[in-house]
Amino acid sequence: MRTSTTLLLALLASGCAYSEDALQHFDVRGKVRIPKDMTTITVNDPETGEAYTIENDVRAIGPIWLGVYSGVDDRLFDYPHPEVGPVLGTDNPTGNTYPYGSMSVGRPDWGCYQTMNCKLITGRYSSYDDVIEFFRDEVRDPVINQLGDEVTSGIEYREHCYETGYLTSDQEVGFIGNGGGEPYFEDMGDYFEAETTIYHTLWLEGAVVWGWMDTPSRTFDFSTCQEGDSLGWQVFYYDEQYFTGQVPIDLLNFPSKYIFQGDVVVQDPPVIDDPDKEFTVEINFRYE
Amino acid sequence: MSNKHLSILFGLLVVTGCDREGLDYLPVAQGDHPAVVDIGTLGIMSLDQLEEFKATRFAAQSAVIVERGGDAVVSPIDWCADPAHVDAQGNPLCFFGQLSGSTDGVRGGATYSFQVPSDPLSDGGDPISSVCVIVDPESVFWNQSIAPTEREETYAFPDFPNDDGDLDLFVGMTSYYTGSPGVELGDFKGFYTDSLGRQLEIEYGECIQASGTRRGFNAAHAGRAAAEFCAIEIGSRYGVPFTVVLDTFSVPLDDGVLSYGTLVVEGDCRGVVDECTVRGESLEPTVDTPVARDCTPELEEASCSARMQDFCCLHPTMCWDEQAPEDACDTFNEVWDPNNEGIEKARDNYCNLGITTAAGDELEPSPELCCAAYEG
Repeated sequence: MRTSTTLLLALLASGCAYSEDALQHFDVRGKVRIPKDMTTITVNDPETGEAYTIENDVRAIGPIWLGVYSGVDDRLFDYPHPEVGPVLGTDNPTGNTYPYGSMSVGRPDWGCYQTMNCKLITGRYSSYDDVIEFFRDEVRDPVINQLGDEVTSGIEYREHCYETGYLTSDQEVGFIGNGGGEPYFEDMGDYFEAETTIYHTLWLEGAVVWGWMDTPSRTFDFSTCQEGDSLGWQVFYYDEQYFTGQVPIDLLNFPSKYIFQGDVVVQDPPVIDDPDKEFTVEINFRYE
Repeated sequence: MSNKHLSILFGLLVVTGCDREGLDYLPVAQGDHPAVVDIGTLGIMSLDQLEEFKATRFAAQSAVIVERGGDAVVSPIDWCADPAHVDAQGNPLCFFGQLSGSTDGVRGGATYSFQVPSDPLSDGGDPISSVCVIVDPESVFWNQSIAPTEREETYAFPDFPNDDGDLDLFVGMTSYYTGSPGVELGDFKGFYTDSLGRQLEIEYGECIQASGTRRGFNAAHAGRAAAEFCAIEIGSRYGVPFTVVLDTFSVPLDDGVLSYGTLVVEGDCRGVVDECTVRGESLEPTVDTPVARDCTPELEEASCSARMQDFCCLHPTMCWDEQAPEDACDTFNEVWDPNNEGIEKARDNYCNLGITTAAGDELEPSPELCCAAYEG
């Protein structure tokens, strides 16, 4: 009887032997680097139209879109681009890249004021004053509030965010610090670097990490943030009624629809041979 | 009670669970109709031809049109069979057909093809960039109004579900079609294998139904008896053949035969297609050549002119009279049988005489909704 019980327990215990390692999906961790000379942007002074550059400023780094792909094909475009499947229908210029997984390192965030729609990228600003200063002194296009007046105080900015967004702490404000756990770029000398994790991505041996930075335009806008009626979350706070803009759902499936001259692309995508090992991906090819 | 007795009782209990066969829910096909059929090739109808086709009516209704001073028209079935209504290659422009249910585990349905002309189609202006594929399975479906107050009297009767069937529409380039026309139904699914060997299923079907409640992707379909349609891009696809798949989803219980009408017309479906585009698609199951079933053209006429209460009160068995509320015809009778003389009098007033209401309004008869051969 004792033997039977032992055998039964052993049999039951074997039912727990299943390991989820059998899944082909992993949280792949790594670092994203972007050389400082690739972060130099040219903007136009809104008043004079004069073109000038902003250099070595983490706040000028646009959203970075990363994907895990089967491979990269240099023949498709004038910049390295993921392999594509067959072209289907008439709406898309190329086939789908069928990414295995994806992540952003900084994404467009609601900036609490309508004038800041699609202007603020997460993981780039340390404080509200940092935002105010950057747009006033560097972009030369100050933050304007709902009344048409310039926002000059970080306290005022924060209060407006809390009030219109029904927020209670900066942890809920994505564009301040690492709000909500957003990756934050650090100055590493010749380059900026941020930690990132591409969650729950399919991994097959030989898969690569590829992506690009959406460089700010001369008016400090981004092609990967779309504004318009019904696009994005709707702010509905008394007479402040507008849509906040949104990121296209297919930008990693059809990157060529959103990559334009001036954007910076991964030239040498790292191969993930072991999903448990960290990768380092460098965004270093400017599409001219 | 011994174990033996208990076992017998249990056995009896189990056996009583088998007192229903459920065969009532299995349609029995009348006539000799295929479960899988290939129609062949249809031509692409122009918008002018579509207008002509939509104006067709069956004999009794054509007689009413003539009586009212109009020109006689042929039936939709005759219009399609007319050798004058073919494309440059001699292909018919529309088709009426019938399908029986398929055997277990086999997909049933019909297929046909159409070919984009080698030269751009034109309506006199810009080249036409899309065509609209339509299928309308028999016969008509509507939702019953069951509001406790302010009921919509037009739809007081419920639809009779056992005369309805359902076909699901798929369209794609013939080169992607996996079936064998007339033998086995297929689909438009293909596979893409990336450089690491990952295989992805790709849907090459292009029939995206984007109208109203049927908004969705390739696999979105309308419900029973409702017309399905979708626009197919043909710009720059000169000479490319397309395959249309009409996949049998359900067969009417009353006769076991699913009849349908289908066509391809220029344009993107907007504003030209609804339940009333193809009329007379409910066909007599025991006849080989398409003949509209008695009273179904009138049913469609009522549906298309939103006069379902009138039609159902005149022909209750064409609607689901067993499930109709007792007062479903009260408002109809108030108008057409004010003296409580019975349904025959109401029918005579409605179909032949017309009536002057208590308020002094003169109502013309509506014989186009009256079935000569109706037997309630």
